[in-house]
Amino acid sequence: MFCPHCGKEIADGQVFCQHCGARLAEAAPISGGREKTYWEDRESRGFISGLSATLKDVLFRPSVFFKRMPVTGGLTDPLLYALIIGMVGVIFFYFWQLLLQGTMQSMMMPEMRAAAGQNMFRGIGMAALAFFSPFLIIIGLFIASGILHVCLMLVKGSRAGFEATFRVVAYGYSTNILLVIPFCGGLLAAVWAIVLTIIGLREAHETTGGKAAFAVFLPVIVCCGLFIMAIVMFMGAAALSLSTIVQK
Amino acid sequence: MRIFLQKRTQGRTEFGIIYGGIALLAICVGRFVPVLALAPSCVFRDITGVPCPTCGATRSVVHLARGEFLASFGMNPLVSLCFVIAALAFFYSLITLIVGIRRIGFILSEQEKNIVRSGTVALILANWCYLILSR
Repeated sequence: MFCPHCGKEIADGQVFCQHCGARLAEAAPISGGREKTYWEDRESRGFISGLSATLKDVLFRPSVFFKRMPVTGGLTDPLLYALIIGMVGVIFFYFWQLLLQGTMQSMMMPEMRAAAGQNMFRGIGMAALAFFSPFLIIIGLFIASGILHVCLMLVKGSRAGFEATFRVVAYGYSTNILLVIPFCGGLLAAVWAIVLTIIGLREAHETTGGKAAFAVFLPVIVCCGLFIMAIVMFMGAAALSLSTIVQK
Repeated sequence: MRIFLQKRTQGRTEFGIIYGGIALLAICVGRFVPVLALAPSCVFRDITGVPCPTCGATRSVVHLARGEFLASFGMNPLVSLCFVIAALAFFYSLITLIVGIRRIGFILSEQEKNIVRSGTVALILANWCYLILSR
């Protein structure tokens, strides 16, 4: 095929022209039918309406949302969305921490209560974390997207480029709204975020659910899988040594 | 593999600056904040007694921040290497962005991509073996 910008011949399936560096829109193997999310269309829908409609869609109709979500169009809009929802979650997290700290400590064993005295979420540590939260949300978003995309590339599941992964992770931050629920909100948010990320990667990259799930769990699989292998080897070595001793 | 020089297109995201910036920020934090006192211990290591693949990453960054490259490499070679590469990528991307010169790009064949995938996994495993054997 030929680059529409410089006209030079380029290899099929390239995302960028190797001569002029231009992005080749037609090279992306992702099918059409994608449209702006409600959040990205907030100029016509309104800020609050766009935000709430996107939140509702991501949380309750993730397959439909990520199937329609565009995989290009810039990082700014999803980043802003993640920042807003993330900050709402952080505010509620601190709110419950402050309000229920006494209640939670009264439910703890004495040893746990002593350990909680060294909790970094108290006093100045908490204020510092609150101040740095927006920066931490943004940095966390890029780090999570980067690791996830590398894992996806390792399992050959990356078909739509880094931006698609970034968008999935950013809109997946919607689960932070569950932090409005005290006690179990964090756990619910974490579990649902994993589910949303798997669904999102599957739909955005148009890959299989297995590959998407494998990419999400790859770090855990590597960790635990090799540990089990090490235990098996250790036990094998121990059994071999034992049999040698018995034979003697 | 095909290596070429490519021109920067308008609106292209500068990943070198973003990820290199994050790496440099982490190095600065390692230099000026007592992160070793704040960082929690590794849960995997606490339970199993075996270091996880990222064990020593914080100490590696702290050593890097002090300019102790060998000590940093000894703590976690892969993390140390990634941070150095990210920091170099930051300056490279920044310079090419400011000066406006063409930057190096490359295209890999499907076979080469598979080699890179296998190499990455092998590198992570080798790094983990080193961590287990060195502690």
